[in-house]
Amino acid sequence: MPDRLFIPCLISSLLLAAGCSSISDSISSPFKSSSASSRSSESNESKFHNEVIDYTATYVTGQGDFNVFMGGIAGLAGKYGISNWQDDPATYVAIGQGLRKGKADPGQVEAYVVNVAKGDANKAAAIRKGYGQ
Amino acid sequence: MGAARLALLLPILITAFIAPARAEPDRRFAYVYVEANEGSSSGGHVALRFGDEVYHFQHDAPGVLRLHTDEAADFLFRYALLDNRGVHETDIAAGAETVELLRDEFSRRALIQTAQFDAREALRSDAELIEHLFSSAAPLPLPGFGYLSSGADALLGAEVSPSLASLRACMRRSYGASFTGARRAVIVRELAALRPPASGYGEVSLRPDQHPGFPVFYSTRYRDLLAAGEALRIVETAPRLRPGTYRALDGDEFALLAAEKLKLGAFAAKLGAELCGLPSSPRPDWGSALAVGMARLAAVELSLESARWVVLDLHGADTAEAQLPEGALRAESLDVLEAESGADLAAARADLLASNRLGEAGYSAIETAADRLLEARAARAGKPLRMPTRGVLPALPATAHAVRPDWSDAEAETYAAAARAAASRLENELVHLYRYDLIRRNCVSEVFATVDAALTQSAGARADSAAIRAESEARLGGYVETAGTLSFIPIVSQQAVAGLYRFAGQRDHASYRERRLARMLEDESAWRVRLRESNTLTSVAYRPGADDSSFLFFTEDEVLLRPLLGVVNFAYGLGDGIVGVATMPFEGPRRLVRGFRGALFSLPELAFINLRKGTTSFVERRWAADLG
Repeated sequence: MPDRLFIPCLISSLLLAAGCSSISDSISSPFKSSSASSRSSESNESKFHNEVIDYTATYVTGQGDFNVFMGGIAGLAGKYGISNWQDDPATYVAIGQGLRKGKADPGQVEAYVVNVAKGDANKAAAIRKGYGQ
Repeated sequence: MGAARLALLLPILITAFIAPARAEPDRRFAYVYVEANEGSSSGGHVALRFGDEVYHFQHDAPGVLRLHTDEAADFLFRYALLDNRGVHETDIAAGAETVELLRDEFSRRALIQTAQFDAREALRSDAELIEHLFSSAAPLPLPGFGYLSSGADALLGAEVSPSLASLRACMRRSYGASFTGARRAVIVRELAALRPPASGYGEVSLRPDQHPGFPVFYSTRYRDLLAAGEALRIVETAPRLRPGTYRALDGDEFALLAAEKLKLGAFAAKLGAELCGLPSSPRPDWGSALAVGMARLAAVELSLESARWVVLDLHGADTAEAQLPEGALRAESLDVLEAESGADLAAARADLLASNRLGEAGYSAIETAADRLLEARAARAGKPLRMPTRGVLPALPATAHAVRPDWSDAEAETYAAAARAAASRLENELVHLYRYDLIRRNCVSEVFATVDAALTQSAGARADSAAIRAESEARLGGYVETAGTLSFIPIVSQQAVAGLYRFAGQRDHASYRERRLARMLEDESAWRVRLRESNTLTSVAYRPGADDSSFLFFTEDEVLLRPLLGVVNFAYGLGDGIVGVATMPFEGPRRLVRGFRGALFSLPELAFINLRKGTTSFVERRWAADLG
C-alpha cells in the first residue's frame, strides 16, 4: 500500500484506538447476566448493607444534611427493590459500621444516632453496635 | 561472581528481601482490558476489578468522565458477549491493605461524583419546579402513585381494599382518628411556606475526594411533602389497585403454592405494620415509600384472593424501549428472554420458599422476573419491550395537585434564576473537575490518577510525585506513567501494567463470536465454518447489533488478507452510505450513518489493524457460564 494511503489509515486507527467507552447501547439491552437474578434475597440484602457502609463512610466526611443522607440510603435500597429500609435493624448496624470506616468521632456518631434513629432505642443501639461502641 | 555483577544484583536482592515486607502478596486485584470494537469505545476500554466489583470511567455528557461501578459478571456479559470484545484480566498481587486502600478510594470517588452530579440535577429540578408552580396550575407527576390513584382530580376507587383498610385502621389507632386529614392540612401549609435553603444556591467548590455537603434541595423537599400528602389521601380511601396497573400470570405454573400463600400472608402482615409506622419515621421521603408499599400490599392481596401470582406493572412514564433485532432473530431473542425470565422467576420463588422469611428484596426479585417475563410475552404480540429506567421499584406515576408557594412572583423569579445560575456554575465545576480529553484524561489516565490518589493517602497528603512513585513501587511492584507516554491507549496500558506491576497471572475471556466459532469447530469441518462465518451475509453466529456499521467481511482472524478485505468493506460501507442518501427521505438517516461509519471503520483494516468485530443483539446466558 502506498505511504500516502497507509499513513492516514494508521493515524485514523490510532485516533479510533484511543477512544474510551461511553454509555453503551448495550445497557439498554434486556439481556443480562444471571448475577442479580441468581442471588438469594439474603445475598441482595447483604450487598445493600455493604453499600450502606461505603456510602456512610463517604458521606460522613462531608458534613452533609441528615435528610440528604437518608435520601441516599433510600436510593441505595431502591436498587434492590427495597422501599422500607427504615424498619431493618441491619441497615442501622451498617450505618454504624460506615461511621467507623469513615473514622467518625464519637460526636459525629451521636449526631447520626439523634438524627437517624430519632429516639428509637433499638435503632440507636444498632448504630452504636455497628460503630463498635 | 565479579564485583560488577554483584553491584548489578544488589538492588534486586534488596528489593526481593527487604522492600516487599509491607506488601506481602496475599491478595489480588485485576486490571481489565477490553478489546477495541466499533461503537462507543472504539479504542477499547479499561477497568479495575476488586472481587465481584468493577470500577471504570466512561465518557458521558457533557464531555466528562464518570466513574461507574458494575458487578463483574454484568460487566463481562456486556463487553465480552453483547459487545463481542475479548476481555483480558491481568491479576496483580498486592497486600490486603493495599487492595482495600485502592478499592475504597474508587468506591469513595464514585459515590462523591454521583452526589455531585445528582446536585446538578436537583438544582435544575428546583428551577423547573419553581417556574412551573408560578406559571401553571397543572398537577405534578409522582412516580409510584399510579397504582392506586388515577390523578389529581380523580376520585379514588370505590371498592375498598381490605389490606389498605387495615392499614388505615392501624394509622387511626396509632395517630388518632383525624390523623390523615390533619396531617394533610399541615403538609399543605408546609408546602406553601417552603423556601429554597439559603445555602443551596451559593458558590460551590467541588473536590473529587470530598462528599459535597449540600442541603436538601427545594424540589426534593417539595416532592417529598407532596408525596406524603397524596399518600395520606390514598390511605383515607383505601382503594383497590386500579385496573390495568397490575398483571396476573397465566398458566398453571403460576398458581400460588400452599407454602407461597403462607409466606405472602406473613409478608403482607409485616409490610402492613411497617407502613403503619412510616408517617412517624424520620425519613423525609416516607410518602413515596408508603405509596409503593401500599401498591405492593394491594397486589399481594389480589394474589392471595386469586390464588395466583399478581404483580404490579413496574414501568414509569419514562420507561425505555429495548432495541430488539428484526425478522426471525426477533422471535428467537424473545424465546431466549422468555425462557431466562421464566427461570429467574422460578429461582426467585424457590428462594422465597427456602428462606426463613420474605423481605422486600425477595418480593422484588419475583416482581422483577415476572415483569420481564410478561414484557417478553407482550413483545411477541407486537408491543414494544419496555425496560425500567429507575431501578426495580414500581414507578407508574399519577399526578397530584401542586400547592403554590406563598411567595411573590418577583421572589419566585429570583429563586428560579438563582437555581439556574447555581446549576450552571455547578456544571462548569463538574466539567472542570472531570473533563474528558482523548489523550490526557481518558478512561486509562483516570484509573491511574485514582490509584495515585489512593497511594497519596498512605504516602502522606504532601507526598510529591517521587514519593507516590516509591509508594507504588513498594505496594504494587512498579509505577505506570500515563503522562508523556503511550500508556493512555488501553492496550498499551495493559502491557505496562503486566510489565511493571507485580504480575500474578492473566485470565482471558473470549468474545461471543470466538466462543460460538470454537463450539462450531467441534462439530463441523473447519473449512466449512471458516467460509460460512467469514462474512456477515452467511454467518450464523452474527446477530447484528442495532448500531452496527455496514461491513461484509470479519477481519479479526485474517491478518494477511486484512487490507484486501478492508478495501471490500470500505467499498461496501461507502455503497451502503450512498444508497442511504437516496433512501433517507423514506427510512431516515440510519442506513446513511451505518454505511459511512462502516467505511470509516474499514480504514484501519487497510493498515492491517482490526477494530470492528460486530456486536450482538442478544446472547443466551449459557455463553457466560465461565465468565466471572
